[in-house]
Amino acid sequence: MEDVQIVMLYFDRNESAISESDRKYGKILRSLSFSYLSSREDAEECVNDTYLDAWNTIPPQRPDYLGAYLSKITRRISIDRFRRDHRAKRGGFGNLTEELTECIPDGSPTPADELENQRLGNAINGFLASLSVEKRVMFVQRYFYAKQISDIADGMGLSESNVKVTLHRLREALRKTLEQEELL
Amino acid sequence: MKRSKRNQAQTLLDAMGLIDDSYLNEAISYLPEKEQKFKFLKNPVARVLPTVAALAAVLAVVFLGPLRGVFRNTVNDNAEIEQNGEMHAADTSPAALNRLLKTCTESPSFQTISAEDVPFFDGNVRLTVQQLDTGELFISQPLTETQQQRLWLELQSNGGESHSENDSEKQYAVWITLGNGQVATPYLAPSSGNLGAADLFQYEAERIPSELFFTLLVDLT
Repeated sequence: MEDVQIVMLYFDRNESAISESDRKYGKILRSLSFSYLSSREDAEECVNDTYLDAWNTIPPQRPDYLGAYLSKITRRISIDRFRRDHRAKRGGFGNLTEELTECIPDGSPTPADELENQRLGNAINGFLASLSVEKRVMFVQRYFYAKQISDIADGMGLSESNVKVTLHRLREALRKTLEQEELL
Repeated sequence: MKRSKRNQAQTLLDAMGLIDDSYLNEAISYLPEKEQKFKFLKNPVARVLPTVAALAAVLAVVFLGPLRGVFRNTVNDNAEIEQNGEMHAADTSPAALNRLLKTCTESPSFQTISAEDVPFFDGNVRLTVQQLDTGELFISQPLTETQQQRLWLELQSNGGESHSENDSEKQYAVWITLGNGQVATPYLAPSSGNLGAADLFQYEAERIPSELFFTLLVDLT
């Protein structure tokens, strides 16, 4: 089923939107979440939370690329869960840090943080736009979808060393871009 | 206070969440160039196409099987027909064809038969004639190889001269049962789309039987 048809199911509040989303993107989302959490159970929960989030946000959102939209939700939920779990496991110094964050007036990002994050996002998108499709795909698969080097190499028909070298050069190129724009 | 490199990396990791959706979609659906060439094979319909094509080729061979002797000695066949020129009917009008078909149905070489009993799969090529006003069916004896060759030449020809035939002149329908389940008619060009499968199908005439067909009917009677 095409993305636009699945999105229409969300708009019609038809619950088959979830099953169709899972049929088309479930594997990608589970793989993405597992890459961050290394736990199949946790990944499954994150993917279920993703569908709930999508159900609550479409409408009003009408994503052009449903796979990308769901991937962003899964990634955000997975990273949040990873950080929460690691804070809980740290104990001692970690707990103190956790307690002290309560002294910070507002836990949400400040407008300055938001602005910086937005500038960073724009810089990354500008950097990606300057790349060839193959290099861009490799970068996104590694640093957004958190795919293993071996999986990227298999999927792109390249050797692992080729992927490693290319990613190393891409990181160098991104560092220069960020330095030029005085970000980070 | 300058943030630690680790914090900066985390900020960068978070910012990756702002990558444009089109790039994310591109990464999901990316196929290397060499795989793009074969992408159509991932379509289930495209995957069965070679099988369908192979099956069609087999069916074509099976269909042509009973008639393949036609290709042999074609020059001699033509010569034979020329030598037997006196057998050629002078009148090839629809009325003349009706008269000839009537003669066939009355000939001992044709037998009445019910539609259920037509031997579609007996391995013999035969003519089946239906008298349209009564629906009665008549089937010929198995055609000899020479008669099959004449029939094939008839089908391969462009057909006879066009006549302004009206419906009242259509008194008979004619089919050729090939003995392998396939059914053709001298009123349609012999393409795979014009074949029936164990069925005396209705048809709208696309061609008119030529003098060769008349000669065959004369021979059968």
